Amino acid sequence: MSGPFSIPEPKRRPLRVFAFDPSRGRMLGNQMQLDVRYRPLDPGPVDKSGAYDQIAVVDYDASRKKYYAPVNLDDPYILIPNGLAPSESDPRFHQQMLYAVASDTIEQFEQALGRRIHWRRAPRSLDAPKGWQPQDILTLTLYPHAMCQANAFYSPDAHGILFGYFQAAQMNVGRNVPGQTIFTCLSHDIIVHEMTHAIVDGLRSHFMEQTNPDVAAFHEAFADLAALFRHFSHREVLLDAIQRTGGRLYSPALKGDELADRAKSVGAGDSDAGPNPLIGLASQFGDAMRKRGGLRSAIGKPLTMKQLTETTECHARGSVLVAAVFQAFFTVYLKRAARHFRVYRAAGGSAQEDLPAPLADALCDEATRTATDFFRMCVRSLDYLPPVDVRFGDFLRAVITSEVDYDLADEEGIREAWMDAFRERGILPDDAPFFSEEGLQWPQLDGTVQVHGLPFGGPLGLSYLERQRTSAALQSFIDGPGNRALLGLDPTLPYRIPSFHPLYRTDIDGSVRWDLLVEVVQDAPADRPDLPLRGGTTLIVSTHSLGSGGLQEAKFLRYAISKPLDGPNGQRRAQRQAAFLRQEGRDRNADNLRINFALVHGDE
Amino acid sequence: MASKTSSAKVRAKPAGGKTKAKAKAKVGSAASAKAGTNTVHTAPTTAPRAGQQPAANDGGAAPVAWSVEEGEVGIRVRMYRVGFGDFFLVSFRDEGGSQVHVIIDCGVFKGTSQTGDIGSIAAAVADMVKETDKQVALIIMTHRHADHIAGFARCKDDFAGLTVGGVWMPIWESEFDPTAAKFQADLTRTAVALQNHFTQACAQAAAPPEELNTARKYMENATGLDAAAAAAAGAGGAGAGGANAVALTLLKKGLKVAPEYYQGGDPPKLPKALADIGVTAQILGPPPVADLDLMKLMDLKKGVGQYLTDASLSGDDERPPFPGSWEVEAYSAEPAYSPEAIREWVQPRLWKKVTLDQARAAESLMQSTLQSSQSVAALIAAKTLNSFLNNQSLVVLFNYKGKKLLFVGDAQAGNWEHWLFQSDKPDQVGTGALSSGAQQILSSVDFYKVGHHGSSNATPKVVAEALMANSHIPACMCSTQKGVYGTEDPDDPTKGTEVPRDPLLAELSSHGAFVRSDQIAIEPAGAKAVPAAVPQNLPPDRPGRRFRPGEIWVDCFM
Repeated sequence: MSGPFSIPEPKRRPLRVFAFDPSRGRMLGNQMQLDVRYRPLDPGPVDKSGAYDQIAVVDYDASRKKYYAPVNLDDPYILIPNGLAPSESDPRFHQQMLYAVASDTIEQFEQALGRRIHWRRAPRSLDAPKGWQPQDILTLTLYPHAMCQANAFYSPDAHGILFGYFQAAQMNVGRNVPGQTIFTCLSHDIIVHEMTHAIVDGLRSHFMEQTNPDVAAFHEAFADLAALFRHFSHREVLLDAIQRTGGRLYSPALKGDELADRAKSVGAGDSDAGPNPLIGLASQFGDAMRKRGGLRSAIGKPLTMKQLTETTECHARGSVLVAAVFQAFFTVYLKRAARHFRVYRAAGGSAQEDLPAPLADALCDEATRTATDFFRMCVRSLDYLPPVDVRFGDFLRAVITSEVDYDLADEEGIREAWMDAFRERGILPDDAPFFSEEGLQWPQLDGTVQVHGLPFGGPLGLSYLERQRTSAALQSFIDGPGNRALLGLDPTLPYRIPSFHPLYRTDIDGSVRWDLLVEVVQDAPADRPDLPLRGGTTLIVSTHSLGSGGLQEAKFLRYAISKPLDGPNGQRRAQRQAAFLRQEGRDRNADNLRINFALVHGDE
Repeated sequence: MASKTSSAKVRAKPAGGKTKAKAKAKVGSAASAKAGTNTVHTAPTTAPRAGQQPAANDGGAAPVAWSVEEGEVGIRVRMYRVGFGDFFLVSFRDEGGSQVHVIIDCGVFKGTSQTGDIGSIAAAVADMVKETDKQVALIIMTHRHADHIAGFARCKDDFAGLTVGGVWMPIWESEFDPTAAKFQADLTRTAVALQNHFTQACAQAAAPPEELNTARKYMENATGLDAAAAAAAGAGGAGAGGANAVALTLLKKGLKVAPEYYQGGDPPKLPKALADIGVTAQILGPPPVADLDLMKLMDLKKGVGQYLTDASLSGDDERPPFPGSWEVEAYSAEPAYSPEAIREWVQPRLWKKVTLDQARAAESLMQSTLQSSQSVAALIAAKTLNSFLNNQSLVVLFNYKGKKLLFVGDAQAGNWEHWLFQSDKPDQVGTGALSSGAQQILSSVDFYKVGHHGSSNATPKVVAEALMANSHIPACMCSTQKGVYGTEDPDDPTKGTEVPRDPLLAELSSHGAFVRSDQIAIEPAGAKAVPAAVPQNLPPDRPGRRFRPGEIWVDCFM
């Protein structure tokens, strides 16, 4: 293919998808084009790349034991119109949309994390034989019509995500035709939500183990947040929402609703106004299951954790977290939007009038930028969470710490907005000394604990040999005198290193800074039911300290974010865990504790 | 109703019953009446043959053939061996020899192995009719599973012939509580749909996986619908509604007494005969309907319905999502998919190009994995529904002359939790400390009906510990049949064949206070004899407590 007239490989592949789901039909902005990264594809679409983050769409229906015809996205007749046109009746469009939204979600995460992701790896001990294990997911397989069930879930056993289809209820079906087939794989939100579960499960081996009531709730909330923030990248819908809410995006119902109410009272028909599509998840799915409105709504329920001390129902708990993050988001957005309003009013504009197009445009930019910022904050914080037993308070501490690392000055008061929103909802960390920026940050080590022998790697990560060297260097560091105590690890028990990732980021002064994120995990022995199931520490090794430079050859431990097995902290966790397991009627068995998304999702 | 005892006590007994010798009782002597045991002892009798009823029946006098020994207060708990199910007859006897009878559940279920029903329930009901002389003060239905109510349906004429003083049922059966009524209707509908789902799945599979069959049986237990019989009778046949519906109708409408529906904390209205003799009762469960959260019954639809589409609930065929022309063969002679699509399922894992042969070999692994991912979901739905029903169990604590008897039906964690940890401080719920009230009740219980046929999660550990606190060992009876569910864990169809023998039962056994119904051999009249399923002797006598085997039962005297 090379030669003077060869065409370079394209960077992007444009594909058409539903922006929400088919129930909105061709209504404003329901169709959009995603420009996903270009990868060579087989029919399916099936990634041929051989990368760790590859996906394959396999349209096998296990309820009916049939395959449906796969789409060949390289067919010229599909390439020319930028992909198949949205259609409910053509399974190939379903496959195309699933592939496009899944690829887009992967890219969003990779951009936020600053590195390539990979799918779930089975836990291994330090001396496990090298090579792949049957439970490792190398290609995440997406099954667009896996079953006739009102459910869609990520299943590590199936090495992928199963999307169901079902017939809508006969009565009271919202926007759907009675008895119509609903496809969960055509809901943009559901795809992003499930992809998020799969991505997060790949990041951390033990994140999905429900050792406290927050774990499942955290995953649900996180996946909802990912799906919600994605909506703010959809310009056409965003512009419309901004116009109709007068810039107040958080308004649960669009302006048209007031009109509709008035219209109804005088006997006029329904208007096309609906609840704000940006803040409802998966409205078609929810409608079809005879519940009004979307799956879960970001705002509306002003619940606090206090009201939820007794419920372990993960969506109720998760909705508090979603609402808190969204409050922080709106605070920042309004602050940024206010500038534009001031300019507008100073020039004689009136708040009573509809927004003029340039102002709406500017507000739209701010909303998109803020949503992207918040999505990235959420994703970046994953690296700053302890490896096991995560609670909502840990999430707040991780966000604050990673933000301090990322933007020390914080001139816009973003961290303040986070703290306010969490404080208002009673989401408080267990062990932070104060509810302030300094108190919430994970304690920083002073830079004197050096880790020797770590290779730097390159912008594309570590080579095989460098990974071996890193692993050896980390082990000799952890085994060094006194270091286990320093890291909050039990000196008598074996440990594992499920993952480490180098991060290459540009510091505020323009220099490259390097961090190594390391997960260290210890399992309680079978004969120690007095300990929590697992303990572990996230290590962050850096070249630069905050505010100052670094020395060549001096890589030092900056954070040791720990959930110890023993000590007072471990005891408290053990008690809490035992009480939770009893309440849930579960065994103390790590395999049974993994979230079974088949049971978490479905009809909400 | 209490009935006056005639001076001649006769006990119907078959000739050759090997238990005869053990049934001897001491000749009454005033000297043996000790503090708190104001007993009247009756003369031991060797009974004439069964079938002859020599006792004078005209004046409402009932035959009383059991005696009260030293240290006992006059309670007999008769656990019938019916197979996998509960059927208890509790008799309270006063100084004058009058007896008052309470029936707690009457059911049996065949289970997956089809061996749960050992065919003795009709004989057991006949014995109950004789023992009570058709005078029953109270019938308690703990919950609506077939293994607790099937006998009411099967022997409904016998029950309809009884004079019953009262019927107690859990609040969930009430037609007057809208929440409960709606919930129960939903639940029944869902159970029927799940049963159909599993029946279909079993029929489709060449060799249905064991779990599917188990789950189908659960739903049969919940609905009382016998799939095979219903199919034979044809749609709309006599079996419509199922045996459970027949039993419920009998209990609600067929006994000439309006049932009382209770939830935990309700003050029960004792039938006169029980109150007269001095029995008191306390309702500990189920949790109040308003307290759905604790009971984890929050939303049946969420727990169960999500796996069922509307079509499967209404019985319509599920339509294919696309016309048949879209269906292809993945790896036929002209494969629709490239071998790369199935790379994930090639074993051992490889990182180079997949060949068509490798893809074909790997295809079935993917297909079976996807199929099993689904049946697990439906199974867990069945399990959820099953525990919903178990948690509806009416939990009753009787007190007679200082002896406390705890009957828990099949209560599981959600039901127990409500009264165990009841506290003003919501935080207490998680700490694992029992409320002082629960502690007090449990540590003073003299008789405990082991929940849910001895399954792994029916008796929480804290309860077991409290029951045996201060080396106070209650008498425990467990009505069960070994090997009925392949897993021996009736709670969890997904658990495989491990045998989770509860440490509680082992502990109780070691203290010599635990009896299971299948440890005795039975010779029911008109049915085949069944040998003991577990080799185990009855615990030795202790002051104030005796176990005695019978034709088709074990008695516990206190």
